[in-house]
Amino acid sequence: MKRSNVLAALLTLALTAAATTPAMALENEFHGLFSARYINSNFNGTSTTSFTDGAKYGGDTKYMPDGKPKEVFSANFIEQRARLQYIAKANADLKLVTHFELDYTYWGNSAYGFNSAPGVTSGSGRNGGGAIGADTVNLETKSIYLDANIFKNVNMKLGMQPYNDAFKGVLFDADMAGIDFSSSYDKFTPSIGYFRFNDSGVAQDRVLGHLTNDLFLLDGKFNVNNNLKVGAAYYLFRNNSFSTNPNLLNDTGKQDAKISTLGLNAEFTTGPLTLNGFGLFQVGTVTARATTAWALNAGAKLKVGPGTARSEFLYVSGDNNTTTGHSNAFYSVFNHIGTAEHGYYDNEMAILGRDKNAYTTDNSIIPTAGNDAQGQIGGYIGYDLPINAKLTTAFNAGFAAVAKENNNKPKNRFTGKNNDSNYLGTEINAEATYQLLEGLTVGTRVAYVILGDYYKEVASNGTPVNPYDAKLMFKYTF
Amino acid sequence: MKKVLIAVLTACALSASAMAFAADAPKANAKDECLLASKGCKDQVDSIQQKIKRINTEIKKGKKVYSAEELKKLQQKLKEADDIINSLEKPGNR
Repeated sequence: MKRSNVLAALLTLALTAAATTPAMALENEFHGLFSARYINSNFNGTSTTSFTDGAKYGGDTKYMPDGKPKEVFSANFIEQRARLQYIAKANADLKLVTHFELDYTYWGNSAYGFNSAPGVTSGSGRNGGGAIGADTVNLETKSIYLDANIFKNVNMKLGMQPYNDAFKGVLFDADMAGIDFSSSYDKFTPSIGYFRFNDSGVAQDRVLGHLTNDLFLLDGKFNVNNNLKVGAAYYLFRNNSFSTNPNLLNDTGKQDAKISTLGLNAEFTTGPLTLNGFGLFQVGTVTARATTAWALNAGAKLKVGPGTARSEFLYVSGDNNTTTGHSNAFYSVFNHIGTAEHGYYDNEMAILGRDKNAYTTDNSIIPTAGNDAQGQIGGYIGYDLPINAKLTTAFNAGFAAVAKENNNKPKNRFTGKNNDSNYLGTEINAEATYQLLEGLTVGTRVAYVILGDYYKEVASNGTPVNPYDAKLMFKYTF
Repeated sequence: MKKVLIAVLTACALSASAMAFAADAPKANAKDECLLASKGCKDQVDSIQQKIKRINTEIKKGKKVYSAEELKKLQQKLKEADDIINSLEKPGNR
């Protein structure tokens, strides 16, 4: 028998064995989500948001009614999202996690490879393909990373991974490329990590790794006892890249930020009551401005009657000046339109703050923690009321203002100046979710905001009408 | 010799595949629940909800069945499953 034939025979055997032998013992996990939602709103999907300011979708960051008609037609559209996750587990200590996303910003947006951006009629791109004919390349890769227990008590995550801060998402909550080590020693859980947000070397000086936007972090959690958990974290943000200015609207250019952030958090539980909160202090420079900034939060949950009452308070510092002098503007990742890779969702707002039900169309009155260097002061209350095993409801109210006014405040059309009031508005919202089948729910959430005098006479022909938003959502997870 | 060897190898390969497919086939006079109701399929895997239920069931068995170390591992598995749900349901335009 010729040597080549023997090799061919062995190869056939090897391939057959690989394809059919269960002894490979790779555990395959496949998970996903599908959701479609009908949205009726004079807020999302209208020109009162950043929809008209360069955003591709039904508005992808901020409520901006200034200079626009005070009253707009209500938007009626359907948004769709699917996520697919495949996890290959070699054993209990080693797995590869992959996560993909396919969005239609709204049904009817584009087809045959056209981009989802308004007016764009060529090229493929994310979120497109929702019009008749479909046929658009719109697959997004959210994360691909290795998750390995490389030593006893040491876990490593390497690659593009979801990562969030220990402070309710006011700093960062995003998919980011990097490496993170975490451990667990009895009651103590330390972590150390490094992430690269941007590398603009190609566009700047053709040297990779030189002009970058990076995060280094140390984090520790300690269970004092069954009732009390405390934590501390240090984050160093170093942005030396060509990216977005954290303090100004629509400003992209070479950045120079070095910000150290030190934070403490705690959670205390006793009987039906849970208290939690955090404090954050930042010091450093942002675009050559010495900066000290801070944020404070307190939250409470109390089982009352058949449900749970909730409350949240958040203060984030701001600054009167957006360009010169010492600054108290809070730094987060990032504060710019369309790049808010963080979100404070614990307040359960749908219009005042980022909506937990928002997908590609994602607008709010306070979209970022720093809030265009204005900061924020907000108080929020809510009540979760389960009706039965399949039906749950929730009711929320929120009250919010900016901490400091500055040039990012919209101007009164009569005076040409800022309004005196810093009060943004009062939101009320209600939500109901019903489980149709295992994994499949149908839900609705309706929100309404009574605008504060911050927005008085800022529209082109008066004071903007109060915004509302209503969603009907089908969601399947598996 | 060469032909015989290739024939034997091919036969091995086909029989291995056939065995793999045969496992899905129902026994005589039994309904194929996999075809009928998507139940009991050979390659069926847990949904994330089923996985969480299974882990919770095992955690409830407590120290009668599991050691402290194993219970800690199950708690870790539960956290991983919760993280998967959070990751799938994470809101936002990013």
